[in-house]
Amino acid sequence: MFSSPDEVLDKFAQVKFIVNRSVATAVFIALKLERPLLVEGPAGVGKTELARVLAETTNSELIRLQCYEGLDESKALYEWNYQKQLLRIYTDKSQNKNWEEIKHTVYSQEFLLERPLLKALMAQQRTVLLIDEVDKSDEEFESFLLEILSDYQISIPELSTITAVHPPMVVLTSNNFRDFGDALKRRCIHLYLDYPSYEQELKILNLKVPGIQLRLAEKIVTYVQAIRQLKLKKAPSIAETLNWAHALLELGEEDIDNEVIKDTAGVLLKYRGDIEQVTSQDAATFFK
Amino acid sequence: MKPIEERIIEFAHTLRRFDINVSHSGIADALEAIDLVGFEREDFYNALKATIIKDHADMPVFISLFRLFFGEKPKGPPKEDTGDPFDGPQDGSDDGREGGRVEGANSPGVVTEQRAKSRIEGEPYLLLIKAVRENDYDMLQYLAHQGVKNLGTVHPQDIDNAQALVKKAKRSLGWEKACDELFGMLLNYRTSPF
Repeated sequence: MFSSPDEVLDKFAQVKFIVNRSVATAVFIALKLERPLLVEGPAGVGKTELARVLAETTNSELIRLQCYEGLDESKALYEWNYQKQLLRIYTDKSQNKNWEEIKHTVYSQEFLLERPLLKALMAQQRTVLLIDEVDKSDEEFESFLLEILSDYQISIPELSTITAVHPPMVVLTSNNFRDFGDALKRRCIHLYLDYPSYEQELKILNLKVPGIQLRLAEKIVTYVQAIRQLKLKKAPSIAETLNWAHALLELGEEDIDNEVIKDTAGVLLKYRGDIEQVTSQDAATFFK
Repeated sequence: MKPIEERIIEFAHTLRRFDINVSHSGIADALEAIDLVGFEREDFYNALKATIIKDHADMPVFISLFRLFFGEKPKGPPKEDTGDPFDGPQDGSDDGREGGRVEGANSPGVVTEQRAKSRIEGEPYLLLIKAVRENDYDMLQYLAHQGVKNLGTVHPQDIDNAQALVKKAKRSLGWEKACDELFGMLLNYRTSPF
């Protein structure tokens, strides 16, 4: 486990995940205080990636729960394997076993389908539990989540109460789709992850697209950073910057001008309106 | 309790007065976090931010008050967390930034309106404006105290020039800027059809 924010920075950098000290400090504090880390910020800045990197750098398994509207306990926590139970009951009956006996067998761990939350609680080692896009789940699920994240314990009525031996490192992500409850937020250490700075993005680009000319890399980042300031429907994420860089490299472009942008804007932007808005502006104005 | 802990609690209580939802557990976490990361300026700032602030829209007020309570703005990342604290949350693309935006501001060729703005936002003068608008006498008094504190050590001979001291204290709070803004608001209010 990490002993300082600096170590978080170092370990993350080793797996080519570039963050600033503010991010590293929040991660460090959340781990030390054993609190869930709530990561907010625009899409495509690496919220989910942060959880993956955390798992990688701590040598733990990543367990992911993707939230959506209507997500309930049976999909998030556990479910009884109904078909398997039925089969068992049929076979047992043919052997003339009585119901008391059968009941005992079919409500055992063998017939339990572990969903991500239960899996994380029952793990024999500390895991990273990623609860992705928690803002997309509904309020009931949220209060249920709060309960689990408070004492890392759940009760399965037919079986027993299960308490985590190694409480997972929990990372929750949110795109602010819905403003979710204060109680859950109170429980968490908060981290706002934003688009990287110019220097950071340049560093990321050089790391992930080796062999790119420095001048082109600088231009790419300058341009992307500038159009992020425009009112776009979907600003380019880091992945899109990288894709664009790859595309320009493949095309053998060494400079960015209006023509290049016109030809390749589709790599960077995903909405027609955004593309029109960006290409209608002289690229030179972004490089002033 | 250590003086710094008292200071953090006072800080948290003041945040509450600005409608920032600071919970007891947030304060307890903050104290624990400080134990972990120590008092090095940037870490101290980051630790308080991560434990006390649960809503990114609260950052500008947090920054302003942090400066008042713990002195000059920390170097590096914090500066970029800006946005107008009293206009409520801005839309996603436009609001404060985590880490490294300071460096970003120096990036060649990227001078945007937002960046120009970010240099003046998140200052104590915003607290001043809010206090005036809400007739918050306590806060005004508090700010006055801070203004005096900002003067640092005052020598007996300086007292002769009290006017200059007052001016200096006012300037440290962004007095003139606050006046400009308040007059601006007043003018808009007069001409507004509502």
